[in-house]
Amino acid sequence: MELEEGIKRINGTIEVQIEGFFTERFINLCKINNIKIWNIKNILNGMVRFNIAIKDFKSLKKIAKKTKCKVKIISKKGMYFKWFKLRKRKLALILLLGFLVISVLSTKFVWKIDIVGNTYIATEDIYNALEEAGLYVGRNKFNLKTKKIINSLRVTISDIAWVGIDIDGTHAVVNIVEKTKLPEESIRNTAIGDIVSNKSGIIQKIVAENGTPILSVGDYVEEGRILIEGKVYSEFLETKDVPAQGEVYLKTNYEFKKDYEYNIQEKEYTDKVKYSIGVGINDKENYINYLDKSLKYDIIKSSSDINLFGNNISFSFYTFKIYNLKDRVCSKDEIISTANVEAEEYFNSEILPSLKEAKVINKELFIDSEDDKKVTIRIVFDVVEKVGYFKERN
Amino acid sequence: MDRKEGKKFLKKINFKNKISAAKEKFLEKLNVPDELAHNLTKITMIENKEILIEGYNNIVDYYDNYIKIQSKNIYIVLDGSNLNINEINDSELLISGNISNIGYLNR
Repeated sequence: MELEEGIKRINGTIEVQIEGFFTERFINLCKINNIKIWNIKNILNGMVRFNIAIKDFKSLKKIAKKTKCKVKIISKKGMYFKWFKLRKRKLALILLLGFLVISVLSTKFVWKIDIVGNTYIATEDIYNALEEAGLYVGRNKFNLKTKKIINSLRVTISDIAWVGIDIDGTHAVVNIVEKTKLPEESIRNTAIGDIVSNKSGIIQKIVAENGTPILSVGDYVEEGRILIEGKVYSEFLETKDVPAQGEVYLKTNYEFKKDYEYNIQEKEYTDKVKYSIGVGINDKENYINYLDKSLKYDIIKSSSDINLFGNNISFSFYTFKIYNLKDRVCSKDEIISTANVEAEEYFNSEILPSLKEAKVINKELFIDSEDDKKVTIRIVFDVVEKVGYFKERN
Repeated sequence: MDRKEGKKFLKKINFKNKISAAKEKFLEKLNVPDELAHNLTKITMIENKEILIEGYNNIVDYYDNYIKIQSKNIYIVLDGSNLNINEINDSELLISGNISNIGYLNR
C-alpha cells in the first residue's frame, strides 16, 4: 500500500485550496471516501490548503458540490506535468525516441571480444582468424552461427583443440583449449641429435652427460658448430646414436662503441614552468599548445588511459620545463667516465637479459681514434656464458 | 408490566451482564491492549510539537489555532498556533504545530 502511495506522489501531486463554510466536513468526507490528502493547513477561517495525488483530484468534485466549497489549484508538481509541458516540443520527443531506439539497437551488436585460455598461440592471430570466420567488433548478432565460426577457426589454427564461444549481451567470450606440446626435455630424451653452438667464442668448460664432446677447453668455436655429438664410440661395440646432453660454457665478448665530442651543449634549466592538458587517441596526442617556439622545452607527461571499443583514449597533464643550451668543453677523463657509465647501462639493459648464466670477467676500454674534435671509444666486455641448443639429426 | 414480564426482563439483563463480564475476562487473559479491546482513542504526543491520535471518528472544527476532534466517548480539543494536519488516515491523525493546551469534553 505504501509503495503504491509513493508511486502516486511521484507521478504528480497538486496543492489545492478550498473555500467554504464546511471545510471540516470536506476533510471528513475525504477520509470516508478513502481519498488520501496530506499537509493540511488552515490559512484563514474557511480557507484550507492541502496536497492531493493527481489521480484522486477528480473525485473531489462530488465532495465540493456536497459541501458547497470552491476548489482552486495552487501549484502542480511531479512527472506528469513535466511530460505535459514537453508534449509540444516535438523535436525533443523525436530525439528522445531516437535515443531509445539507438540504445536498444546497439544491444544487438557484438562490441567486445575476449579471448581466454590461450598460452602459446598469439591473441592477435586468433583475432584475425575470428575476423575471417565472421566474428568481429561491430558485427550484428542476428544470424550469427557460432558453430560455423568455431569450425573455421579450428581449420585456420591447427593448434587449437577445442573452442567455445559464449555471447553474453554485447560481449563475446572465446574460450580456447590448446593442444599440449611435448616439453623440450622429453623430446631430448627420445630424439637423436647433437648440441650445437649458437655463439662463437672460446670454450671455458665442456661437460658431456650423454654423447661425445668433440672439442676441448681452449678451442675456438664458431656459430653453428657441433659441440657435443650424439654418438658414443667404443672399441669393442658398434657406435651408438644417443640424444646428446651436456653443458658448455663459452668465453664471448660484447662491444660498446660510441663517438664523443669535446664540445658539448648542456641544458640549463630556468625557473619557468608551463602547464597544459591534452587528449590522446591511439598514440595521436593533442594538447593545448600556447608555447613560444623560440624557447626550448622538456615535456613531462602524466596520463591515465581508458580503453573504449579497442581504442586507447588517454587524458594527459603536461608540464613544460624551459631550458637554455650552453656550450662547454669536456676533458678526456670526463668523457671516459661518462662512456663507462653508458656502456654499463647499455650492457645491463640490452645484452645481459638475453644471456644464460652469464658472468662478466673482464672489461677493457680502447680509444680507437682521436682528433681535435672527437674521440671514438670502444669498451669490450668479456663474458662467460652457457651456450648450445639441441638440434635433431636428420 | 406484570410480574412475569418483569422477571423475564431481569433475567435477560443478567444474562447480558454475564456475557460482557466473560468477554472482558477473556480479553484480559489474552493481554489485548485496552484501546483495541474497547475501541478507545490513543493519543501520543512528542513534547508540544506533534500529536498522533489513533481511533478518532471525525474532525468537528478546524482552524489555525483550534482543533476539535470527535472520538467514541469524548471530544478532544487542541489549542495552539500553526496547527497543520500532516497526515490524515482512516484511523490515524497526525497534527503538528505549537500546541499550548489539550482538553477533553464529554459527549
